[in-house]
Amino acid sequence: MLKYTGRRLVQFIPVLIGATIICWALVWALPGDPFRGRCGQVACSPQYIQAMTEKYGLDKPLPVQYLVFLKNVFTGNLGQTFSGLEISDVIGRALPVTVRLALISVAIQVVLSAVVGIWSGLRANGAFDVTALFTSLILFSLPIFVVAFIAQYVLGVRLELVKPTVSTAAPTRELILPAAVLAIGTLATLMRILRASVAEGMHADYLRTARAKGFTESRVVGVHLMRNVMAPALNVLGLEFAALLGGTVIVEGIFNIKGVGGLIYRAIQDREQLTVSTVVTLVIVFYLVINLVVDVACAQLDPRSRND
Amino acid sequence: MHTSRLTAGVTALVALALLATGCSSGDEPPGGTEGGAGGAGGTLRISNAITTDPIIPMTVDTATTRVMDMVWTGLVRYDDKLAPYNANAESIKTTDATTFTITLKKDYTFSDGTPVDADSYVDAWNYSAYGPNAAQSASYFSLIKGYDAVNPAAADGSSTPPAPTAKTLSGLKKLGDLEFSVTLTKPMASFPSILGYSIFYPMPKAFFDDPKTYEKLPVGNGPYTMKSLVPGQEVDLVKTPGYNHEDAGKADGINFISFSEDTAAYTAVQGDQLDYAPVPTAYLATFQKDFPDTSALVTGTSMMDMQVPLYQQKYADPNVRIALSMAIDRESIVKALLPGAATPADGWVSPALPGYQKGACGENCSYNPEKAKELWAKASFSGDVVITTLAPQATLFTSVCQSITDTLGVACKVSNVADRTTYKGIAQAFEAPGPIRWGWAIDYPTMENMLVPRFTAGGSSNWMKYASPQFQALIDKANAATDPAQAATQFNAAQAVLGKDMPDVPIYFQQGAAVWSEGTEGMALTGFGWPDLLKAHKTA
Repeated sequence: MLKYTGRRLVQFIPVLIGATIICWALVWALPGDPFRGRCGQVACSPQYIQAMTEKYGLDKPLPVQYLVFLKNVFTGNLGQTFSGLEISDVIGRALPVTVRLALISVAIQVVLSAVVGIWSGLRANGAFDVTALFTSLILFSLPIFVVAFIAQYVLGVRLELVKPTVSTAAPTRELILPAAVLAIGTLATLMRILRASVAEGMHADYLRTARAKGFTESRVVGVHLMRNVMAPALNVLGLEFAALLGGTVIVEGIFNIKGVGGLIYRAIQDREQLTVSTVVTLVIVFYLVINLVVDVACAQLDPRSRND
Repeated sequence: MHTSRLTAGVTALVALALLATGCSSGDEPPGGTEGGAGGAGGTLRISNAITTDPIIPMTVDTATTRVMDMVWTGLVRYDDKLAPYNANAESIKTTDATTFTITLKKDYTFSDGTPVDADSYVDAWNYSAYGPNAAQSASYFSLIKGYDAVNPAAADGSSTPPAPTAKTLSGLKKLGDLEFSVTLTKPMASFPSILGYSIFYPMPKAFFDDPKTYEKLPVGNGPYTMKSLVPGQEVDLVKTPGYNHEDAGKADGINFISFSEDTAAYTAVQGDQLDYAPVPTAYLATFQKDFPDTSALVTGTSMMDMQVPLYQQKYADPNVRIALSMAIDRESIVKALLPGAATPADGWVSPALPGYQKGACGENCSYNPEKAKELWAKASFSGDVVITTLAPQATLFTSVCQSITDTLGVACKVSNVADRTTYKGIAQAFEAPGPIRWGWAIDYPTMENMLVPRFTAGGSSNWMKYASPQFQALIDKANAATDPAQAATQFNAAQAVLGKDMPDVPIYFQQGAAVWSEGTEGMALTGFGWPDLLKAHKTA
């Protein structure tokens, strides 16, 4: 298992280099000079453009710029945005907000999907199962911004149960509503997966064996069944968590959350190549690590999937 | 099983670490948005899309300017009617409209305690103008003598500008502790009126000693002082202690909060989480119902137009441009898309500005399908009309295009650019295939500001390559006229020249629409489309 993890960690390196090169090239290929448009509605002075181009090293050949970026990442000195802010500070402000939002959202997904999905699976085709299916299909088919706007208006403005937008400090209680909105999309998928695995598992041989051994029903379901149905759900959940860490531009915009999504979006608009690449690298690392964690966890759950 | 137990432990640790990063974000930015604390004036929570650029006079950005107007007091301020009055200046005198002698009031200090003197202005302006300091505002100082030496442009055909030959503007002279003179390259009688623009604000010693540290929490000489600043997100101000000038504020504090979407800000006012927000386009039809007593609509000072690329052979004939202008049914388009929020443009100077004259453009800016067809028939135009626009105005220019096709029968396409940098790049590289969306919002309330940057040869926002000696002569005359009425006459005559040449097709003048919370008093919009926050305060 250690060998497997080590091999996977080594695989990270080419993936990271490849992804950053692609990202770097894509931002570079966007038309428009990053500095000419930075002086409001009038033209920037040529001296300004020259001074900025030199300061940020954009006059150097592209491969050199890329190497500087790699050096920055490895030395931990990430450089500055065009506004003169440390990129590490900018990320340091946006990331904690996004991480908390993602964690709350995942927690909501886990609790709801486990309760609803497992219950529906245990009583497949019962009244609860059918109601859950309809509700999840309706929620799943609604575009997320529609849900966001309605939730914001009804709960925030009409009923005044929550603050309609998230303030700068982004206290956790204000993040619950947007996190719940974000949860809806994956919730339906997770519920259906869990329901299907549970319903299928209920008729599986290993369950009959367990029952025949005389285990209590709670042990049969809680240990023998759960161990087998968790792996697929965990895979979906892991990917979803990683995606949430990459930011959510639309929901962030609607609730005015100052997270990673908006950061990347603005950085691309401003041609902040260094900021974009740094944040994207971070997001890729999240993906890789979370995937690895999920794979290792699945191997623990199901010995058949161990690859060493 | 040994390894597997180990990996299970590692897995758990990684998961814990991930959780910990999420939960240990204890160092939350200061200054929450809970308003209302403090004395009788309360804290105003204002939606304002500040960028991450430093909030210093060298930054050119409307939202940043709004903050600076509270933190600094410039030589002049503008009243409700956009007329300038002396603020930090005791007097601004001139005899020839070229050299101005400025005397400062005695008792102004920066909020770090240092006095505001002639050096605070002269040093700040010299710093901004000096090329290697890379100030966004640099090109505005080109009207002061000696700019070419401190910020030389590149020679034709070269992309690298030469090094400056001087460090200070020869047109700036310190005459005494509280007195300095400014000599312009050309007469400009309206010069005192532009001095209320934030790029002309003074700077304390602390800035020149260490700009990087200063930028973390800039210090000004105005009615409010910055208490905390989270770049691009929120800046919180408190009343400057001991500030007893006529422009002192009423509220105890002002929190400027950045909203990336106007709709979110509007909803936040509805949820009493914010005290002021502009009205997003989607709510234009309903905002007066949502906020019957706490909303306003004023004639603003910004406009929407399209610059025509005179450098493209097919648009070189003025008849083509006039025909296009006459083919646009501005009245119907504005009514359908921006009900109540815009008026059809009848020239290039906003009705909110002193000196505005109705119909200054002449008949060429109004919808006249017969005349348009007639002119079009005379002109030779091959191919399609392609209008370049920025995403938010895609619908508007699709309608403009439709109107052109309906009238002239020529195919018209909209090329919709998603982001600002690409869009600006097209204009600034002189690569627009046809008319390109352009918007203009005044920096300072003068007719000059709506005409000179866009339409003089080499103007800082002239992306048409428009150059007309006749227009320039009228502008020069207007700038030299010390009597404002006389100047206005000349500026309007200059607009008539634009009407004949039609290098730029005006579409509409923007109205400013805003809503505020019920507990806010004294909120009123000025022609800037922005409230005079010094008069507003909270009651509850």
